[in-house]
Amino acid sequence: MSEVNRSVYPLGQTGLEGLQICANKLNAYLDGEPWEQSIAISQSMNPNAPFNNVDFLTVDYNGLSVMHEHTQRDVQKIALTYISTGVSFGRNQYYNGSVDSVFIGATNELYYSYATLRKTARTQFVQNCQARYRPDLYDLITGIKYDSMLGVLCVGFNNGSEYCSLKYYYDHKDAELANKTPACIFMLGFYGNTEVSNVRRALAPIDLTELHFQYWMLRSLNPVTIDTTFADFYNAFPPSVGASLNPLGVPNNHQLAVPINAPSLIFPVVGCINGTVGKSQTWNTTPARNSSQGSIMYGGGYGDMYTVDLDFTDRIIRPILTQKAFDSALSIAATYGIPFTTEFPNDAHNLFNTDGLITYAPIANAGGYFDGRFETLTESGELSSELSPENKALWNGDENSPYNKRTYDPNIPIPTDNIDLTQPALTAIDAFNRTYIIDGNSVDDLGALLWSGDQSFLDSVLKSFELYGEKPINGIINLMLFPFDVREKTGATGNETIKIGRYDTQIAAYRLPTNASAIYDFGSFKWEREFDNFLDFEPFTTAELYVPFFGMFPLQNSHFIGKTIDIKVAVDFITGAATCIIYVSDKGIRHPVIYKNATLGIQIPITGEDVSGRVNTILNNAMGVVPDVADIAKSAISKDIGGLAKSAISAEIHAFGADAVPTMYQTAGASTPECSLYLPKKPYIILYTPEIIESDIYNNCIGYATFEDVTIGNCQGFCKFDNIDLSNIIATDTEKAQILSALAGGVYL
Amino acid sequence: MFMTLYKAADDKRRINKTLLNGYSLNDIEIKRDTNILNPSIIIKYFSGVMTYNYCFISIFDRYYYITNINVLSGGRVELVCEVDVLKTYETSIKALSAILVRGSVGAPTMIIDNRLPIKQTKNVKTYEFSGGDFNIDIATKLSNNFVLNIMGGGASNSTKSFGGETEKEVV
Repeated sequence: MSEVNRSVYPLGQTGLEGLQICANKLNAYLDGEPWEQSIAISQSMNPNAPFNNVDFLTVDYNGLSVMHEHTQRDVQKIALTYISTGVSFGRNQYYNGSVDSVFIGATNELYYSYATLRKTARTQFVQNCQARYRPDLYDLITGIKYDSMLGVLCVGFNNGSEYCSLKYYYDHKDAELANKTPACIFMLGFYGNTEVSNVRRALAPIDLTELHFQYWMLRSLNPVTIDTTFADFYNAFPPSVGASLNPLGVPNNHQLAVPINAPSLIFPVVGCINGTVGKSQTWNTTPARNSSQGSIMYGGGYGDMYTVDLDFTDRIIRPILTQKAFDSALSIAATYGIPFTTEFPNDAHNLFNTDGLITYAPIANAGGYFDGRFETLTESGELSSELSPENKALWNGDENSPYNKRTYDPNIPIPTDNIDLTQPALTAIDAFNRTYIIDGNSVDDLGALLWSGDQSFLDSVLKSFELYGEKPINGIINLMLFPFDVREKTGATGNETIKIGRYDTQIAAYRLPTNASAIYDFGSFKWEREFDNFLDFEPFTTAELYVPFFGMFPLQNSHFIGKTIDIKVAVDFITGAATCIIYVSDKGIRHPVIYKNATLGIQIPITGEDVSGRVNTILNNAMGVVPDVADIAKSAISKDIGGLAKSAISAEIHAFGADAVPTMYQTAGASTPECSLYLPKKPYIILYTPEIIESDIYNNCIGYATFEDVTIGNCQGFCKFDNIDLSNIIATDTEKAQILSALAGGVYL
Repeated sequence: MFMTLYKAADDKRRINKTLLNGYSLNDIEIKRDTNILNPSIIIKYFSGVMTYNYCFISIFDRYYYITNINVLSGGRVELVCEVDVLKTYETSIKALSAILVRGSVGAPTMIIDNRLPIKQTKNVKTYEFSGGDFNIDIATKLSNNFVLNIMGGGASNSTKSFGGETEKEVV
């Protein structure tokens, strides 16, 4: 047996301290430090016992030994898991109902611990893995990286007696085991496996109404953090090939307790399923029942379950799941960004044959979280650009997050959460022209040069333009002034000199590249609700938004209130035109709402023709009326308020809003962007809010408008009711009418 | 049959009324036609009868407001009653499900309340955006705010500086 170096770290009073040590080790490894140790685990016997120690063991890759104690391997990937409480499954409360343990361990090797395990089993396992190499699936999932093997997502339920493990698989092939790059989990399918206390029960279909989300959680390996609220790690265990991978470092038949009521626990367990069990031959046909049977879960711990003949492709125990359980499990798995397929072969021999499978991979949104969309992978496993490593989906641990979709259907389109401006690779800039960014000094120098009285200079310039047959001045398309530093945003760095035609003026300038960023930020504002009730909306509160150079925008409050408004402008540096895009964002969902065009660049006249042409344009537009703004405001606001009010059932809420239409100021005439230089340079929003007449007895005499389903006896104070069913009151018709009238008119409780 | 007189100070619209100073009259007999919803009960006058405004009549199993008291000859008074359906069916009413459209508990909600008094005047508030890329107010001669577009050639356009090179002959 190879020499084992062991470092023991006393950990202190709580398991969390031990976890922190392990996490530090892991993070160091993920930061590139070589990993030469495996981490075993420690265990105490009850949830309140202190976490005693963690054994850090060095291992020898070739130290395959057949011994009664476990054999270590080089740890190449590690993860953490933590069980706060647990009930050992299968056995009758082997651990007296609870185990408090932390175990860390993962290898790319098989990790098994029984003397009866044959060495060849490992080789075959590895060969099987190699046959299913899918390098295109690497890095699909952040942090869920394994060198090989299977994984199991363990889901616990609070029914106290059952749980379901969702096993996911990935295939991996590498000619050189030592050289293989980290693979990733690819869920070919899943199956559920209940651990029940008796065989008969295990054979029954698993009818789960809901997979309880709170019992499992997946976090990225990188970085590993310990949430002291509830520990949520995942554990990448080596495959235990049927035999008892005993993460406790203790041989024989200790079981790894499975938390039933523990929070946030996931076990991606590396294991395999085998058709032959040394002790029981019924393993093939019976769902995992107890330690003498069954699939690998939770890192092993089936004390006396071991494999004699390892066949990785042997049948997989697949209990029956209801459709709802299936959908729930798949939805939950999908929130972790794990690709999956819904086609799970019955024949386990084809389990790892991914040809022809329709697979789905979750897509991450801009925040990096699964946004409910799925991308269908091609049979060849080609990925769309959305599935690049930068778009790997994470899980943010928040069950209420809008990105944790609980249901899925790849055929149902899911709304887009973010529509943003894009940077084109090609633009009109620099295509058949040159665009320079210059400062005021260069403008002066250019003017001086062009209007120079030096005849020899003029002759030279004329000659240089012979090719064009044009007046030299016409080599200049335009000169524009923008209200921002153009070079700062575009990042133009090419320091050049201005060249007009074939003539180099020797005047310094920056060359604007074709792929320069032309998107400018006009600022943002979070519009908080003032009243947090209907008074925040039209017609009680109205709002207008001013955007420099673009004018006033009437806002529909419901679109913007409570959200962040930010304004981007896309600029055309050749014409000076610009498009303003007003965004609204809330809870990570951001999309453009309003587009408006205007001229941002101030044309600096170069010739007399330029000036006269512009003046004529302005004068011709002077009498024009811009109807769009006012019309949009009126129609939108009036319609919405009227529609909202009239949809209410009670006469108490009538179409008050429709009667009050806000006054919109129509704009007329046209101005030049030069005028806008004198106008405010920051967007601002004007809110016109109502003043309430305060009354101390309003609520007691009139009451606040509401619309709730209630039981009358649960109400207090002055109340008015509607839609009352008097079926269960035995009274005369007159009395019933009086009751209805009284309740509708208002009663005191 | 018995009848209990009460003094009730609660608003008529209160369901769970508090009934005070109960005075029971036993052995009440119905001696003439009357109405279960608006009965008139003639009783013997007793001191204090005029102070009661509420009653329960057992044979009708209902609660009533005493809306009027007529003084009759022979030392009798007539109690003119009107049924109080809220108190009579209090338990059943409280068990009902309904939609609450107005309530004194809570605050204005997102549902438009046309009865909430607001003034015609408006408060005007202006909020300026934060951030932004404008620099025109502080730009100097060294600020790169100008864009010059020149015809010809694009990125690969070749030029020659004035002087020093042989010009290409144009045919």
